[in-house]
Amino acid sequence: MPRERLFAMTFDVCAPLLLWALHLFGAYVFAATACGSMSDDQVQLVLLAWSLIALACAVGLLIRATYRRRHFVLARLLSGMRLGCAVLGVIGVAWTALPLLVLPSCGV
Amino acid sequence: MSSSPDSLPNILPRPEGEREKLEAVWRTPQGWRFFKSVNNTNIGLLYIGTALLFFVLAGILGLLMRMQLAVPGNDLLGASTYNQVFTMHGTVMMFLFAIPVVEAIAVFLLPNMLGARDLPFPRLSAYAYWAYAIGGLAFFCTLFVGLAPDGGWFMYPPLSGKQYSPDVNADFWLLGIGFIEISAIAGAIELIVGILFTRAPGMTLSRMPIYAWTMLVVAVMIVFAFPAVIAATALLELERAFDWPFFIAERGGDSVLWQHLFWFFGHPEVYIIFLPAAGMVSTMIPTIAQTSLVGYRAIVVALLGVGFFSFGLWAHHMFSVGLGTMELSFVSAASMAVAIPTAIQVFAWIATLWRGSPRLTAPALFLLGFLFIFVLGGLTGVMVAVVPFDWQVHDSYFIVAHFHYVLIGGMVFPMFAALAYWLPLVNGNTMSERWGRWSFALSFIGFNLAFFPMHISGLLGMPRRVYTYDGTLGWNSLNMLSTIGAFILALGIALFFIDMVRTLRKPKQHAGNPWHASTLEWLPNEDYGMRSIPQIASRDPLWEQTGLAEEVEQGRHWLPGTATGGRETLMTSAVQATPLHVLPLPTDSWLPLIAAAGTAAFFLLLTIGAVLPAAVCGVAAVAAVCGWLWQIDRPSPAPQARIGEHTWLPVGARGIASHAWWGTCIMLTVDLLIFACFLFAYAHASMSGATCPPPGARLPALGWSLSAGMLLLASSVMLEVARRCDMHRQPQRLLRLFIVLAAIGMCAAFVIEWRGQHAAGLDPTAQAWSAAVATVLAYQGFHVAILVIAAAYLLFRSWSGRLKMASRASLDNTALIWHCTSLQGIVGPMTIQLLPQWMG
Repeated sequence: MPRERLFAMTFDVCAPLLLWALHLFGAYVFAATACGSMSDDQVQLVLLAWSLIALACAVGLLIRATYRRRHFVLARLLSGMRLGCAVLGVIGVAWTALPLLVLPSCGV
Repeated sequence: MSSSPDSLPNILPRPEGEREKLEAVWRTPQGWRFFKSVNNTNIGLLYIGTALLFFVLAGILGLLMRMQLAVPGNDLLGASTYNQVFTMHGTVMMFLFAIPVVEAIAVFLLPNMLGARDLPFPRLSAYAYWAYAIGGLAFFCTLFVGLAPDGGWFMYPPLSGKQYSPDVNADFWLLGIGFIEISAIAGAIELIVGILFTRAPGMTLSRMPIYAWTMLVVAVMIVFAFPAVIAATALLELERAFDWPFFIAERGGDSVLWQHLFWFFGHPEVYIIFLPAAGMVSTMIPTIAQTSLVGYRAIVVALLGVGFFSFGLWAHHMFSVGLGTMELSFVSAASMAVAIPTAIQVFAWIATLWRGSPRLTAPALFLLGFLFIFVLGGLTGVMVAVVPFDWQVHDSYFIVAHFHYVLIGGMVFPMFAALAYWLPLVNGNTMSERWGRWSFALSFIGFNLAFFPMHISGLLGMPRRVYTYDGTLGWNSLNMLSTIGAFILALGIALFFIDMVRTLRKPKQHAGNPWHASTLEWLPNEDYGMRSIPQIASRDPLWEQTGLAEEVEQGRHWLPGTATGGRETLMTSAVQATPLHVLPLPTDSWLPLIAAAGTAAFFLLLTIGAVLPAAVCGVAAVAAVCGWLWQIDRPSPAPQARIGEHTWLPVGARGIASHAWWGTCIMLTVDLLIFACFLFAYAHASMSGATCPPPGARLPALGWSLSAGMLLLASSVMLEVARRCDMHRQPQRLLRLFIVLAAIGMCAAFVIEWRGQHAAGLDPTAQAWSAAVATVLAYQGFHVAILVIAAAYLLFRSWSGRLKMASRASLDNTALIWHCTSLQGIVGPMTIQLLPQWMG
């Protein structure tokens, strides 16, 4: 069987979307479990930090996708998919984190 | 672009009798033996026909509901009957029509579209179909004896619990739906392996038809979404059958757990239904516009985006449950974000139509209707993603209007377009344009008349699932309009089906390529698929590779006959579609039908308490599966086969190169996800109480779990040693010894774990926490039982001399399941031990 690195390629393309999923589930679970035991401000701070880290990673993946698109000879489909998923990842993480800026974390 | 005759894999003239031999090997059995056929074309057509039958039956139930609601205070249906009717309408439409029909169309279309002779597991397709058909029909018949489920299509507890639904109605839903989902997963395994590894040579990922991309994403979504509903139904059935209180609040249970699990499946399911329709639309629109698809790469990205985002939306069905504000807001934001990849597809379709010269045929009209209705449904979807708006319209007719716009607009209209478009593949005849236009006009007008007023009746406060209403509430004329619209819609659909039957009854003729399409399914084909497997050099091969149809039909491309004397197809690599080996395929057999009938009967008989007949049917199903596996795991008919004038390929493969290895790995992914859902139920139960373990329960001593874990590791090592034994040496005493030792280790580990829990006084009926612990343990026990059967099967194969180097798939795949069970057996008890300590 030729070494086509199917899993590595799939992970490479889907990494920004996986990051979005990780950010959403992490934020959801933390908000659901921490509100009883931590203050509103603490929860807000952790969630903001978590979202900033996720956003930084998403932007990093976007820059990487753009850079690799310009400098390496890759199949057009794969480089396009990598870039498209990276754009969706940045939008997804940023948009999902927006409520943190306008709502109290443990508000009723 | 055209191929130079010298560059083609095979030369003319072809050997005498080559085509006749191919026809003989693939010929469909005649008469009643047709039902043992496993060929994808026959199974696909049966599958589509059965799904459409369920569509008609559920549609009739919908009409009954509209008749009941046409006027206030109507007594056509009583409250109890109405409850059963709306539950069955939703359940049948979602589980017995929408999901099966998209898989059915894929089973029928994909092999030809990919240039394969058949899907890689034809008997699995047959099993999936028969389990669905027999189980589904039996399930539907419960309506005629008043035993149909009546708790709504999503069966929320506590309403569906024993206290409020004491009869077997809910059990029919739980067991019936459970194995229909298993059938869907079998279909998904087939599709993933088929799409990745049986594409025609040269059909790289970037040349793969967009429909295949769609079905690949959908099949992966099925693998990740459906385990949640299987786990949920198992938990509710355990509660109903054995009083394990997962959802009973008085004993630490929580009905919200059901909603999390159900909607983790239920929301992706909407996209599992919509995306295949979108894939069909992306295939038909370029043909209608006679230009290639605009934004192929963007659509593939959009498919991946929808696939991921759809899993983050599960809680948007739970906005009124009482979750925290921030959790709701995250899910609300994600619900809006999914509009982006969906819109990418819509704009790509509009751009393709804009660039081309669309012909307004009947399929085109249905597609335009789809675009209009689906976009409206999508817009109301964004509205209900806004939490305060959702609070106002939750459980009202606004929601009924919204999801009918999404589902009928997003799936049924494209399906009608697809049926009209691809029907010539069945017997070469096209449907009547005149009838098609009438059918479209009536369906479009009827649909909007039926469902648009429901937005308003919902905003006026009409709740869903009421069997009647007071005449003074101001809903009368809106409901009457909806009922008239529903009947006009039904008339449009009836016209379509009448024309379809008329067309199918016409004499068979050569299909040709009536729409001048670009995809491979329009190549001349018979029971064996196409005469030779084409070498692909373009994304639109029939447009850009001139003369391809003639070359393929003459046998100039790959594998023009039967190279091994049996059924076979080409296995190619996942990315570049480089030919790897010839895959021998199993022939027609009654065994999948017997196994499916046994499975369906086992579950249904168990539901009505007929334990002994159920056990007999269960044993028959297991025996049929063993017989089926026994037949297919055999040495290749030849070490190598000639697929081109100068090209020879190995026949069959082992390990990671084998299709069975991939199928087993996907099945184990499902298995691990079900296990993860049970662990989630445990975590949910642990966090629901003030202390963990709750009062009256305690953890077993850690030593029990550690000892069991060590034994599991040893058991896996034993099996791995057995797997590496020299198989040429006969008799295989050492190999058998290690299999026996591995089985003993596996059983002993389970007994030790069970003893530990027993010593800790585990009582699953006492509280939800204990029930969750017992479920993790029981799931391990279920696997151990399967492995004992598998070990006996392997020993039997060894004794009969059939476990050889060239026929060792049974051993290799059992080893995968074995290691996975060991992993579960270690992770489960460790999670049970560690979570309470982590929670303090």
